[in-house]
Amino acid sequence: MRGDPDNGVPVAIARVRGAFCPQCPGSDTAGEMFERSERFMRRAAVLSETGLREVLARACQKTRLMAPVRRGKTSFDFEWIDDPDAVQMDYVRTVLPPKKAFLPVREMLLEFARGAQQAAAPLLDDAPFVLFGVHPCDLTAINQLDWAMGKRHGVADPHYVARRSAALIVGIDCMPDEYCFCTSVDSSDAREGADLFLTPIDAGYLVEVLTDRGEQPLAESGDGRDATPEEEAAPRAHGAEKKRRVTTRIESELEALPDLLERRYGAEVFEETAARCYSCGTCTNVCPTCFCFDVGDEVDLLLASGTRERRYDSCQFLDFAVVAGGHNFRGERVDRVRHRWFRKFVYLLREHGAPFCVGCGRCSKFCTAEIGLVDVLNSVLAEAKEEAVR
Amino acid sequence: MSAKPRVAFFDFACCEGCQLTVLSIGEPLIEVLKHVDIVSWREAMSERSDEFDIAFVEGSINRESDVPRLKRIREKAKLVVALGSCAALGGPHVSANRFEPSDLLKLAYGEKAGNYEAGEVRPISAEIEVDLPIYGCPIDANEFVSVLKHLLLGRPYRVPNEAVCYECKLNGYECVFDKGMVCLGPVTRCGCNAICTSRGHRCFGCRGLVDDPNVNAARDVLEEHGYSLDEIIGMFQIYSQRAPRVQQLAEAAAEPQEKRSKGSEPWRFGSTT
Repeated sequence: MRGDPDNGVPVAIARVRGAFCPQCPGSDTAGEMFERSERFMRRAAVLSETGLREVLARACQKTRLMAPVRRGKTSFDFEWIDDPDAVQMDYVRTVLPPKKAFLPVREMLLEFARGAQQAAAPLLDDAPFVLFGVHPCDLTAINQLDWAMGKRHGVADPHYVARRSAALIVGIDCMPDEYCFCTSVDSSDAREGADLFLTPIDAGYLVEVLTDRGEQPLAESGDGRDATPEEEAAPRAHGAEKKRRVTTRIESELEALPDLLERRYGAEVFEETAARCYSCGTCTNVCPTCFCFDVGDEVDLLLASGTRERRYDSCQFLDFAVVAGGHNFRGERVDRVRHRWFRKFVYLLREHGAPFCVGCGRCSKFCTAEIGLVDVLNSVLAEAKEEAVR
Repeated sequence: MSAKPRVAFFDFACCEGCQLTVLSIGEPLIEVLKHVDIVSWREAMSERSDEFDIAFVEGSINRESDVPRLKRIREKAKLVVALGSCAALGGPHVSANRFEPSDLLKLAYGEKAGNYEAGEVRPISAEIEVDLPIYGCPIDANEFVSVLKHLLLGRPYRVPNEAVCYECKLNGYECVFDKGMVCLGPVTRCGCNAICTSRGHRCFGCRGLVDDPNVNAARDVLEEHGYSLDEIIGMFQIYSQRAPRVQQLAEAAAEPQEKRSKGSEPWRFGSTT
């Protein structure tokens, strides 16, 4: 069972699943599920570094905390942690995006008994938690996922909604490296989705309080004080500096991309990229907006009951688009390669009005063949421009 | 067929490490074995029987005298499972195929070389039909249990066909390339839960290549990291000497330098700006 709605059939499956899922909370409404923060703060406070660590310690004690930690010399990852001192405030990007808080890499959907007469109820994880340290690009991605897993087909995914509704999200601003291109996809100063948003300042952190839920951790902290007007200006200045430092750019307006790409469906750069691509799926598995999954069952040792598990899938895998009867719609590597760009910048951009790419740079950074998403895109655009001149 | 399926284990040229992996599973193995009768297992028990339904065969074939025994196993068994990369791919000793068997015998046994037999090292699938391979050197214990459960339930088992990168990334491990090393993970079949990269090693390719592996891309990338073509072929040949793409690479490398063809030219990005 595949979860890529662009493969045709699964859209129907998604609708049917909703109809058969009366116990799924939110599956009927699928509307505004989460308290929405506005783009600009309702008030600003200042927390010292110590005060912030105390807030995180309380989050560990009272609920659960997922935050970025160091994993290797150069690598970071979001993890469930008990030790607030392990939280990495300053990082460029994690290997896996924070979507794994809502869409775990491997996730138990339900438990079943063989031969049971009743439908198994979905396993829902709605225990409150704090997701800390989310960069603006990843915040934007969370909003994209809210749409994809929520409103898109009129039926919300109950597992996603349960976790998403239970989360208090704390964003934090960052500085880009050579892989970042948030300014090209309008995600560099995103706030929506966050309850609190931090900007590093001399006194510690300027805290933008964006939702009612976000007031709670501050109310419990004795450390927070109101920001001065100069401190309130910090996010804007930080954001402007970040924009100045971004060096990678998509050479086109976003709205023009679907038509430009479609005109260059046969672009040579896709063939050249396919010659270089392993189809290992890393680009999509580390992508904060990709949400395709596979579902499988595993029975217990007594062969009497079992569990249904969902795990990340990838449109880059050879078997991804195989349908009943064995036909593979994208058996050629070049078709899978092209699909990634078309999905992000044609199909979903048209459907959602925004590209399913937030400029985090993970796909390019973690590609061992050094295939650059923006490089390929700009090559296609250059081909399209050349053609227009001719 | 009795109420419980009769299961037998056999071995040919191998280190028996995959059978040891099965034995080391412990309690979960005892639970799932309640659903079968083990009738033959030289490594683990003294009783034996020639009547069995499922045969797990470890090891590769490198002696002609082994072939009739393997074929008898196939005739008796309803299902033959290749247990581990020796049975499924030929194993690390396929590297022996680069030499004359008689030379190797002389090297190993000296004057007594005449007492021994050696030939081309090959997977059991070169001689008999195999119903299911379990890859790995050694196999993954969890995968063995899962395969056994699928067989007992009569459900098709899907052999993992993603690259090791998939499981490595899902675990959030630091990329081996980012540590200044190279890795065969991008073209190697997963199912191991990236056990080697989780412990600071690179992937050695023990589960063989994924279906439709981009060996040319792997070659380009490894060359860019400073490895020679011969070194790259050597990396692949440890487990995938018999893979067609690797054989093509080796044939290309055997050509004189100026005639060497490249499957794909390394393509550099950023050339458009």
